[in-house]
Amino acid sequence: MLSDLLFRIRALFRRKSVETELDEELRFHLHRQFEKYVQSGLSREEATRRARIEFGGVEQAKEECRDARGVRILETLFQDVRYGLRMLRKNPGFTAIVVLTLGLGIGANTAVFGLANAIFFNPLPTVQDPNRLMVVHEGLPDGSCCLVPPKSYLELSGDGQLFAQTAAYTWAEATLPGDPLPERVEAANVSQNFFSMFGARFALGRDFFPEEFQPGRSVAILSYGFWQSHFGANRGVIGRPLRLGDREATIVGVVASDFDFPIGAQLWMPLALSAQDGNQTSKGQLHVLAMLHSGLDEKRARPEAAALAARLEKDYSATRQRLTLELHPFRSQINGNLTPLFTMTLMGAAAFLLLIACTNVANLLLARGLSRKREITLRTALGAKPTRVVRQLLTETALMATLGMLVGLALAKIGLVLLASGMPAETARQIAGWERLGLDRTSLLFGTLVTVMVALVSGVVPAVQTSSPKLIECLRGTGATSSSGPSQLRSVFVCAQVSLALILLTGAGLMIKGLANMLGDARSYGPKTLLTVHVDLRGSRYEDPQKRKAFFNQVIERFEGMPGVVSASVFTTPPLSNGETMWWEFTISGKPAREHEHHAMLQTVSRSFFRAVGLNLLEGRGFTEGDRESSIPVAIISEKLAKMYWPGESPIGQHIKLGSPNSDQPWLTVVGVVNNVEYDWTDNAPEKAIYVPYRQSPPVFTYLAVRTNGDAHKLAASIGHELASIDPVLTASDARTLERLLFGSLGGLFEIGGLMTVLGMIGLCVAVVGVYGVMGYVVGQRTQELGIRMVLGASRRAVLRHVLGHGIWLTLIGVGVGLTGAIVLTRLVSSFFFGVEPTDAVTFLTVTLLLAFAAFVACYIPARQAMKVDPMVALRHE
Amino acid sequence: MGEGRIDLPQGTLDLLILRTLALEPQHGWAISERIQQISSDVLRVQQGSLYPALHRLERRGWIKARWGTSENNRRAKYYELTKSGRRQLEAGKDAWEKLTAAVGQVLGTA
Repeated sequence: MLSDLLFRIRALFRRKSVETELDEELRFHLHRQFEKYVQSGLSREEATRRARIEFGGVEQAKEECRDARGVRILETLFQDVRYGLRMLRKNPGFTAIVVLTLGLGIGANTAVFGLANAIFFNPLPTVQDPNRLMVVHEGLPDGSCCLVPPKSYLELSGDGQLFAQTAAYTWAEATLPGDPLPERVEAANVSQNFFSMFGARFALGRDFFPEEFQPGRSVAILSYGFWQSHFGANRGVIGRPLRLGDREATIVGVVASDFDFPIGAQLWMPLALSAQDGNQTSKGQLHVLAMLHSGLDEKRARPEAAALAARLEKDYSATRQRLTLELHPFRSQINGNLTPLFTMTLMGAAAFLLLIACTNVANLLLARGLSRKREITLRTALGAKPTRVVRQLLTETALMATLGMLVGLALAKIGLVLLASGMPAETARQIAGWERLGLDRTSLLFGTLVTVMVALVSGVVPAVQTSSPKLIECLRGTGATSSSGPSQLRSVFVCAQVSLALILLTGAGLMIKGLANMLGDARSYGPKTLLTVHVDLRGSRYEDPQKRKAFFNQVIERFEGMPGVVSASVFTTPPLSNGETMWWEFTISGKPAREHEHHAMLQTVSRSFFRAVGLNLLEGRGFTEGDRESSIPVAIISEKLAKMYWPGESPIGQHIKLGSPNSDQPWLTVVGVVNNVEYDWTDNAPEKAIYVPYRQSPPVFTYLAVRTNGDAHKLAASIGHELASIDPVLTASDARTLERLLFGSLGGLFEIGGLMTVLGMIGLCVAVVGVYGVMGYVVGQRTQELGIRMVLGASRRAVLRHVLGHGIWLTLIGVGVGLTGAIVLTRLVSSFFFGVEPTDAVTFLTVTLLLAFAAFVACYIPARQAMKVDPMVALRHE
Repeated sequence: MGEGRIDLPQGTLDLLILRTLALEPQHGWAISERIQQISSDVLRVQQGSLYPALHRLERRGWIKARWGTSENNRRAKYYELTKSGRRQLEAGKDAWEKLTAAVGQVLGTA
């Protein structure tokens, strides 16, 4: 095989000498034969003639020798490429459209794949075998879930059957000295094995030593970003002390920049489990991760996990009954539950775009195949085999696909850069893999594969169609007007394009409508002028609720005294925040319920809150100065909750309490009803909410907010100073406007929405160009026929109607198919529509009209041209 | 073609070339002459198929070519059998004998 290949290659590169040798060999043969005839007594002329006749066609023999030597395959490839490039240069317009269409398709797919690869397929590149890395959740029948108590964790780590390695972590709060207030640092306490399980590498220093996991040892490892921002990337930090609140830790290492877990952690400290902790079974507190043994996967590990759960359950007797252990692939958990669906949706949308691009290119190639019919017929008549012609045409497609790939990769690169820079930094920090977003090797490989596929998908059918013309017809010149096979195929392609574009646009439209709703909601809270600070009152200084209440009283008083402040308020959950909502079980007096039946969101607020975010009192009263710890405990409920539990009657004066019927929480008297707020955007409806005044139950974590009457940003610094003057060691975030806070949690969504919009618009453009191209071509092909129609008395309007009718008919079929597809497919991604039904009539109608209008224009322009055809010119067309 | 001559069945030409070259290295013209001679003029090799066959055999590595001087003092391309060519010849001969014997049997009893 190898020698065969070498032979071919040698023949190829030494083509000249091989050719001369062949020439000489055959000439020798002729000469020898000639000599033979001369010797046998023939005249020289006769001998030459006989030898020539006997030999047959010299050129033909040479050709067959070349074939036999196997040079041809490579040689014709070069020929085809050269010829192909010439053809591309000859039709720059056509080439540009095809290359651009393919470029958009390939680019969109590569960019989306790059995104999916960074945040979903491979969010933590350091992990050796991400398929085996699992998140372990412990669940109880009461629905409490996920965190694992230390004793279970120790049992799990001791189980060598299922897991090759386990690790645990908890979030820890830490502060650095700062001005005016201490700076909050995201820290995590991590177990042994933690770094090694993730395959994390260290830029400086080392992992924790086993003895450092004893309680009382204080060491820390820094994240790369933290090292850069707080230590100026100083290589001498190892061994230095780090002041954390009232403790001190020695820096022992800095991890490499590609490790970021738990996401957003700035420093890691050892998780010290005391013997006492080791017996702790009642309260889950650890996030547990485990690496399965090689060869195991999630499914096969499940029965073993169940057996392990049964064993734990026996150990724990009363405290944790009917305990379950769940294994979830780390990959789908790391960036939240929505990420898999999110990436699949985008990849699906990009695939649709690619299909549209492919059909478009196939169509253009078919159309051009027809106009090249003469050329190809001639080649066939001169002896080119159909396979040879197909190869030539495919080479041309491959060339254009390659150019398209270059354009596509450039577009993907630009797209990814825009995407990366568009994400707010606070959000980007929360997404594993985001900082590695870019065109890496895997994405490049993917782009190349897509290109090969595209070249085959869009090239094969037109090439085969084009390569087998009806010889006689074409040579006679009548072939150009025949409208059989290819034209039907083109019509099918047009329909397919329209329907694919419609599906894509519908998905994008529904998503945009949902996002627009949400944005409208967000606007109604006046987010630009509401400045917020998050404070954390954990710790001994604020253990007494009275102290917390006093703190809030003071803050509100001081803030309201600041120039430029309209009002100050306190609340525990900002609107439209993801995952920060606090859900509570509650009980209604006089309405017995099963356990865990009623849930609502609890929001602790100051009385100024409702006005600050524009909530209206629908019934009853708001909180007043008179609602204090000594007066009766009161609550205000949301309209949704009121309608649900007191339909048709007034909830004012009713009693509810937090927790189950036998909880020791006080009964709250409902004094008012306010309209609904969407707190958690991950579900599609506003929440049932219970509001209580902070004076009656002062919260630990809370937002402080001021409504300003000017530029909120100007006040940010003074707010910090004001807080520092109240409590110089307060743990508080930087002051941010509600707008930034919201955009922080919604930023990712807007990126999805933006991407879908871009994909949808590209899809629309490509499809419309496709329709236009085909209609224009049809008109061009039918010029003669239209001319005859006009000569025979058809009015120009009739011709217009005729041509337009054809296009509209195709569009309508496409729309019909597309609507059916859209109804089926949009259901799958309905979680991205945020309060919009997947069958939303307005969106369907708008999108259909938009597409139909665009398609109409694309048909109308060629149809008008048809109308302007001069019958006499048309008749002389051929 | 003259009378008394027959067309060669597919693949036989390769075998004949190999057999001819088994005696001594030869150039193309001599190969065709030799085949014609030995077969008492029954087998006549078409030039149009002889040279492609030679090039094909060379590509397969069964024969190799070198330039030499011919009996009439001209430069000529000589072909000679390689080791694998010799093996191929043996295998081809066996197969051929089996085939002709079998065909003969069938024709004889029919």
